[in-house]
This record gives sequence, structure tokens and C-alpha cells, in this order.
Amino acid sequence: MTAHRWAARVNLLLGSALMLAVWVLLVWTASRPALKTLIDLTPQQVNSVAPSTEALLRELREQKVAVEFHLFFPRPVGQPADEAMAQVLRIRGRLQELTRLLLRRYQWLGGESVAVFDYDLQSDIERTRAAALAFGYAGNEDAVVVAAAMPGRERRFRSLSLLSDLAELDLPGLRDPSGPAQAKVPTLKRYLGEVVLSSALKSLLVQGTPVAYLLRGYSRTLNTDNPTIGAAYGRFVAGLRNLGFDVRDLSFSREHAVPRDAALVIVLEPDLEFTDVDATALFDHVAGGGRLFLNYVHSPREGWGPTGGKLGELLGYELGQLPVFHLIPDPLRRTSGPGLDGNDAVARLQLQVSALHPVTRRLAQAGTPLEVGGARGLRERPGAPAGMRREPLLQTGPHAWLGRPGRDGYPDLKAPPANLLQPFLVGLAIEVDPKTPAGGPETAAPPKGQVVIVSGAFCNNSGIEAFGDLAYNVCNWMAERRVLMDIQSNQYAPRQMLLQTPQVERVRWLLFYGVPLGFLLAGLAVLYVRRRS
Amino acid sequence: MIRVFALTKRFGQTLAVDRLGFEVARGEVVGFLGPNGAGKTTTIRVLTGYHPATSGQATVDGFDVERQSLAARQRIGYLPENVPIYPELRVVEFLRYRAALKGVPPRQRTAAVERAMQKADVGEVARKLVGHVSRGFRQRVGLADALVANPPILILDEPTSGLDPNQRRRIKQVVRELAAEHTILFSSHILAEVQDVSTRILVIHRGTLRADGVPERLVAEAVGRRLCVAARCSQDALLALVREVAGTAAVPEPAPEGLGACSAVLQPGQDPTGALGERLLAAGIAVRELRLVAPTLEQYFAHITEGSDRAEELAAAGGAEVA
Amino acid sequence: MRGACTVFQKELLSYFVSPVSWIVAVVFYLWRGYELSSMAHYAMLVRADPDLFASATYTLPSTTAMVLLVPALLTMRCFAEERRTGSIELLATAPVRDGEVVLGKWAAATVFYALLWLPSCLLLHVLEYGPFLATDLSFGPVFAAYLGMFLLSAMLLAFGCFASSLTDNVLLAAMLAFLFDFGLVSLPAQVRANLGELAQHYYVRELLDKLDVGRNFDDWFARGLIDTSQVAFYAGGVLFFLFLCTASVASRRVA
Repeated sequence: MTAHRWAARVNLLLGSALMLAVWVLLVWTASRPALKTLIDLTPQQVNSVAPSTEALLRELREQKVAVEFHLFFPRPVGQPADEAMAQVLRIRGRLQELTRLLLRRYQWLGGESVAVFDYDLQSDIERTRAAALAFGYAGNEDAVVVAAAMPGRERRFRSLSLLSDLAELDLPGLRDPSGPAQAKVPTLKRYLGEVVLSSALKSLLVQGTPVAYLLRGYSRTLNTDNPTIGAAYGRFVAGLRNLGFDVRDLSFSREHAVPRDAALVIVLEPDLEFTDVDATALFDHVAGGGRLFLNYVHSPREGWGPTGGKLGELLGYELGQLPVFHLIPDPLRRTSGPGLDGNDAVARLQLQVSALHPVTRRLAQAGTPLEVGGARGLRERPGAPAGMRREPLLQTGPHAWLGRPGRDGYPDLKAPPANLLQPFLVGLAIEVDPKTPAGGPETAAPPKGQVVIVSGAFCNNSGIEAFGDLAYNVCNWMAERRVLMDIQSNQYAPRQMLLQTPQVERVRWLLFYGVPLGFLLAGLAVLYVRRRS
Repeated sequence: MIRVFALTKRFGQTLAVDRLGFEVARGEVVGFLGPNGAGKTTTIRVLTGYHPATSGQATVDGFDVERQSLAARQRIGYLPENVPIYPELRVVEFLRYRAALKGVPPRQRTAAVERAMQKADVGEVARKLVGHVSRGFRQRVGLADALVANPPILILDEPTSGLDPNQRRRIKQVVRELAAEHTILFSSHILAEVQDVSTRILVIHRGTLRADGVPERLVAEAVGRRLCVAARCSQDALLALVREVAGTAAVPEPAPEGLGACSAVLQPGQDPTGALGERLLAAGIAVRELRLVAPTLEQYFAHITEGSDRAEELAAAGGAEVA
Repeated sequence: MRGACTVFQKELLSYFVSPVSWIVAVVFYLWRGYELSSMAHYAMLVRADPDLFASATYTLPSTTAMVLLVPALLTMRCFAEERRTGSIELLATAPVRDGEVVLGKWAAATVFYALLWLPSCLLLHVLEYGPFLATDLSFGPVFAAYLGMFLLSAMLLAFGCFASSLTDNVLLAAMLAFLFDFGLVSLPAQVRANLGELAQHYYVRELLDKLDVGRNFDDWFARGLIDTSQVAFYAGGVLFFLFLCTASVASRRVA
């Protein structure tokens, strides 16, 4: 009897251990990537990720790539000063929440290969500081760092700003060039988290070294080697190489086509119009999803100011020939008369940057005033072709004028009467729809072509001090967009409940009085029936 | 039907049942007798599958109560000592539930419950909540529960405890009626009931079986029968005569003037009444009283449970010490 | 299975006729009615998004109380009360397997718990109509959320049965169950916060994710997503605790 008893007891213990193992096994099996499913019951599946992201993460898992997402979301201090600031805080909060949720999905899909690190400066100073140092995080804004390491290779990372890169905000200020830029209450138009994160990830992995081609033959004085002469571009080219670009020369003398491996084509200070053939070559490059960065400047020499020519026709832009000047903002708000240095002439241009475009968003939010010299006015060509979108990037304030050449051939720096002052565009971004249709439903559509045209000495050796951010931004952004994934970003259509007091009253009557009373009566009825025999 | 072999049950250090062995044949009504704490309930709980035995074996209708527990339980209708119930159910609901639990097919459940209620005579409280019925009815509800699946064996643990004499009488009546169709093992510490109803008794004391058999025969074969004599002669003459015939010393008894009375404890099986009567007749002594007094079941019970085997102690219950 | 069905029916009846159940229902719906009315009032003032309104109902204090407390209250009687009154003897001596008894009791507790919640879900639907909120609350996410809560509760109910089988003191059983419920909801987050680096290791992270039922609910079920691996976790949990309960009940037979 005792043996049987002991056997039974051991049986029970073993059974319990076995059941625990079964539980663990069940969960483990259900968590295998092949079996794991997320059933999405939301309308239009808003909370799922796109198939291309799923495919990307699956690929990463198979290749055993170590992916890390590092979140630096500093906690806001103090109270918001006004409604706009409060709204920004709210938007930040929402974006942080969305990003964390999105990364949970990435983690879920990526399994072992994806890790998410959420840093909190308050609770874990050391770890946060170490990470900030490693990724060059300065600590002033919400940032997401995407890092990836192929097996056996070094880790590469990309730092993204939550407000600038992962979201599209609606700031109606810059859109209206005639009115002054006011600080209106911003709204969240689109959350671009998935697009940007997946693209950044892909760019870290797919791209080896982006190739930037410098177009030769259109600038008679261009010097890209010298790092000290103010007018040369040595520092810019060296900077590009530091960022990981492979900078090569491109010449259309032999072949009038842009090489297929070009991440972007840079044209610095062209002082001749593009020939029709070359213009077509550049346009074809853009229309096939390529990137083009055009940096025009003003030259006092006669005939050295191309206005766009054939390329301008194809892309729908044109430049003026006269330089643009702008009054230094006068604290006394005088629209004419002497400037601050006693002279009513200014040589530098103070710019307003678009707060919407990814290239300039960060600059706009940093709020540092930009001043550039040697700019010419830029505008959309009348009768510009369709199939592309033009967006202002840089523009002067409202007190700008064109400097007409004086008797000595140099532009007159004196400001004209107030009624002749107006804003001028000096930076333009053009997005070109791809010509070639997609091969089938599985192949991703080729990315749209991107062109950035700026007018002004931004990235020569003297300008790079102040404008390095802008120039490098342009190049980085263009190189990255090459691998942009075709993902629909979530559009926000917030609904609102418009309730009246009678409705709320009725709700109260139903929920607070009616239902509990119903239960009470039902309970008493049951009690009564049971007592009755 | 029920076979118990060397059953031992230990609770920690306490030995509740010690190598118990007995049998209950089909159709018998066996009374399980013993003082409180003797081990009756424990034995019953082992049989019904509530407790496992420490060692030994028990089978019910051929099924081992531990290894073939489900089959064994299926064959037993059990009325526990404290009649546990579910107070929030009506009597009918309770019985229906128990019938379902015991495997009575759905179609036959109503009829089975009716039958059980009729046998146990609880029809009048059928729709009352079990928690609201009186003690007596509760006991009978428990009995109905034991009967509801019409099991071949009924095990009733103290079925009359806490009842008034009328209620007890009724329960005994029911048990007698049930005896026709079921094998019954019931326990009690009230000897009169056991004697009334059972065909056989088992006496258990301190975990061991002290007696097993038909009550009359048990008592008859036990020590302690007394011979009581009263005759018209002197005390001493009587004493001497008894000593001579019975072979044991007699104890004088108080007697009215002119009579002599005494009593003597006899050996088992010894019956000197015939011889003594003849002697007295031959001596011409008028006999007033000449009888054998068998001990009552109480005395028998006390004897075997107290563990005392001295005839003198029994005799002292009726009179003076024997010299 | 017959035994399980029988026990299930009887236990369910007992829940329905017990005054405690009705008291719990009245208190819960009174509390919830108050909270929802306040929410509706607030929604009127700030013109809230209806989806946020629906999802806010999951984080109400009454929801937390319901999920943490009520399973302990429903199951505390399961075995502890029977041992106290001695009616366990009736069950133990009936020809029914221990496992069936456990299953039947758990099923009854779970079904009754679901029935306690049901009016709340239906009311959310009723509120959509004209006289009340006149708004379309997207039901996919709501269904997913209630499913998540229900699955978690099923596991907590299974543990409650187990806790009840360990003692004959009803209050002690309730306390044990409540401690477990509370621990499951609050401990994993603490552990994750304290583990730091180790928490990034894949298996540790997966384990903590599954155990951190609160966060799991917020991230998946509350957003209309049903994570099948978490469903497997809850199902496995139910099986495990029911097995433990059966083992505990059966161990009496080998004591």
C-alpha cells in the first residue's frame, strides 16, 4: 500500500512539473515567428504594420542582423508658456506613444534580432549618458536612433528627430509668403514613423557607400580641393567624404547620362546654362527616381548667371539674374532709412526656412537666423509642367529687393522705397513622379525623384561654417530617400463627440440609476423566489 | 460484498484503526458498534473512499477501494455522520444533483429522486431549501441521497445521532425496510438500536475488532452469566448448596425473612439450573426463584470494551464480592 | 465529462442564488455607472475622440478592481467552503473524478464572471444609440480588449480555484488569490525596471513580456490586436493551475 501511495505522490509532483513544461512549451511554440499572428480588429487595420516592414524584419531575422532602437525622450520641464507650446507638448506625447507602440510591433515581428532601449535620464543617468555619447545625442530634443550591425560588421546608426523626421506637422506659417510668419497652433497631420524607421533601417543595411557625383564642366571657377580659400569647396567635399559618401566627378563630355549607381548628383555654382542634351540627361536621372542638388550663386560677371535653361523648363523653375538683398531687421521697425550700421545697405540676406520640408525642418525649429550672400531670386516658372510638386524651401523676409547693377557694374546695395520691398524665394524643392510604371504588384514603385535648388553661397568654405547643416542635410536626405519604402503613413482624422447635456443626463440615468437598480431588483426577486417553497 | 483485511489507518502519530478485518455478506445488515473515537467513522471513510488506508486492503463488491476507487464508490450509498448539505439548494435540486453525480441517466433522474424521497419519507419538504429543514428531515434527506442511485450497498454512519426518540424509531423502521433490497453497514453507539435492526454486529474498540457475530450468541458465549437463587431455607445452606452444585462461590443477596437468596457468576456455557433445581426439590426446599441472568448488551459491551475479563467485576454490578 | 457538467450546473446555480453575487453586481455597476457618467460629462466638455472614450473604459478603477478582486471572491468558496462544512466528503465519495470536479467549478466561475461583465459590454453598445452618445464606437478594438481581459481573468480564476483547494479558510483562499492577481499585474514591470541590461536578453524579455499582463493589455488587446502567443499563455496558464488544483485535491487521497 505504501509503495502505491508514494508512487502516486511522485506521480502528482512529476505531473505538475510536466504541466509547467507543457505550458512553457505551448507559449514558446506559439511565439515562434512562423506561428505568431496578430489578429487586427481595428477598422482599416490602422494598428498593423505594412507588409514591406514585415518582410524587412523577416529578412533581418534570417540574416541575423542585430537591430537596435534607442529612444531618447527627455521629460518636459516646467509649464508650457502658451497654447502653441502646450499643443507641441501634446503632440510630442502622442508621437512618443505612437513610436513606442510601433517599436513594440517591430520587436514582436523581429523577435531576437530587434532590441529597444528606452532611456530615462532621471532614473538611469549612467546608461543614458553612455548611450548619448555613443550616438552623439546632444540632449535637447526627442530622438530615435536606429542602429544595425550585420553579422561580423561594425554597428552603423542613424539619428532621427521625433518631431522633424517621424512626423508631419501642419504649421501654416511659411506657406503664405505674403503675410508675416505667425506662430499658429501646430497640428499633427501625419505620423511617418513606420516609413522613416523602416527606410532608415534599410538604408543602414542596403547601402554600402552612397556615391555622390559632382558635375564638372559647368563651372569655370569651381575648386573642390582647397579647404582654405573662402570661395572654394574643399571643406564641403571633405565633409561629404567624412559622412561616408564616395564623391566622384561626373562629366558629360563622353556620355550624356548619369551613372546608375549615383545616389545623388551635385552641381555647384554653375555659371553656364545646361545644354539641352545634358539637361535631358539630368532630368531623366531625376525622373527615374534620382536626386539632384543644384547650388546657384550670383556672379557679377556678365553672362555668368544661368537662369535654368532647358532644365528649368523641364523642372519648372527659373532664376533671376540680379542678386537679392534684404534689410537687416531694424528693432525700430523702419522700412527704409539707415540700417543698424548707419548704412542703409546690406550685403547679407536673412532667410526664413521651411518648417515642413525634412531638409530644413530641424533648422527651422532650431530657430537660428540664417544669413547668406550671393543669392539670386528663384521662382516657379510660369507654365511649369505637371507630374511634380514644387515646395518652397528658403525664402527671404518681406523686406527684400533686387540689387540692380550700378555704374561700376556692382549691385546697388541701397534699399528702394518701401513699396518696392517684397519677399523672394531662394530655395526650392521639387518632387518628380517616376516615369516608369511599376513592374507588378510585388515590386515596390520606384521612389520619386527629388531636386533641391538653392541660390546662394551655402557650402563654400566660408559658408559651410554657418550652413553646413543645410548642405549636409540635403545630401544625407537625398541619399537616404533612395531606399525609401513605399508605405502609407497614417493620416490623422480625429473624430469628435459632440454631446448635449440631455444626452449625458440620460447616460447617467441609465448607467448610474437604471442598471444597478435593475440588478438590485433582480437579486431581490431571486431571493424571494428561493425562499418560497 | 464488503471485505476488509488487515486495515490500518494512522493519522500522524495516532493509530486510529489497527489491523481491522471483517466481512459483510450480501443481504446482511451489520451494525458497527463502538464507543466514540473507536475508529468506526475512520473505517467507514476508508471504505467510502474519503480517506486512504495506511496499510491493508478493503474491497467493495470485489473492487479495491483505492485502486478501483470509482467503481467502488459507484456501488456505495453513503450517509456521513454530520450529514453535510448545500444549504442554498432545494431538497429536490440537491437530490437531482446527487443523482446526476452518481450517474443516474437524465431520463430516470426524476423517478429515482421520487423513489428515494418516498423511501426516506421526505416528500413533504421536497421544495424547501435544505438549509431550512429540521434536523430530523435533514438526516432523512441525507438518507435519500444515499438511496437515490439505488446502490447495492448502504453505509450509514450514526444515522440516528441527534434525533429524538420518535425520529430514531422512524429511521430504524426505514432501515428495516431497506434491508430487504440492500446490504447495509451502519454504525452507532446506541446498543439498543443496533440490537433491534442488525443481523450481525461488529464491535470495535481503540481501533481493533473486539467481537464479530450475532448479538445473542455473542452474549451467550461470553463470560458473566449469573445464577440467581432464592429458596425457603437459610442463607448459609443455600450458599453451601450452590457452591457444591455450581462449583463457584456464591454471593449472598438480600432476601425477605425466611428466605435465602444468593447469586453466583458462572463459567461460559455452564448451566447448573437443572441440577440445582433437582437438589432443592430433593431436599424439599421450596424454590422461590431459580434463573439464569444473561448480561445485557450494555454489560457485555462494557466488558469487552473496557478490556476487563474479571467475572468478579461483573458480579459486582449485581451484588457483593465473592470471597 | 458528465461529472464536470453536473458540477458546473450546480455551481452556476449556487452563484446565481447567492446574495453575495448580487451585491457584487450592484456595487460594481453602481461604481461603473458613476465613472462612465463622469466620463461622458468630461467627453462632452472636451469633445473627446470616441475611440479614446471607448478605450478609456479599460483603464477605469472599477475595471481594475473587477479583474483583480472578483476572481478571488468568486473562487474563494470553491473548495475551502466545502472543506469547512464537510460537504467535501459528499464530493469525494461520489463516483466522479477529481479533475472533473475542478473543471466544473472553474467553468462555472468563469461563465458567471463573463455574465457579470456582459451587461457592461452590451451597455457600451447601447450607448452608441441616438438618445445617448449617438456615436459609432469601433467595436473591433473593444471586442479585442474585452477578450484580453476575459482571458486574463480565466487564468486568475483557475489560480483562485487552486488557492481555494489549499486551505479550509475561505478568507485565506481569497487573500492568496488576490495576492497572486496583484503580483502578476505589478511585479513584472518592477522586475524589468530593476534588471536593466539583462532585460534585453531575448528569452528574459519574452518571459517578462508574457508575464507583464498589464503592459501586454495596453499594447495589444487595448488597441484591437489579438496576439496569439499571449492567448496561448493564458490558455496554458488555465491548464496549469487547473492541474495544480486537481493535484492538490487528489493529494488528499494519497495523504
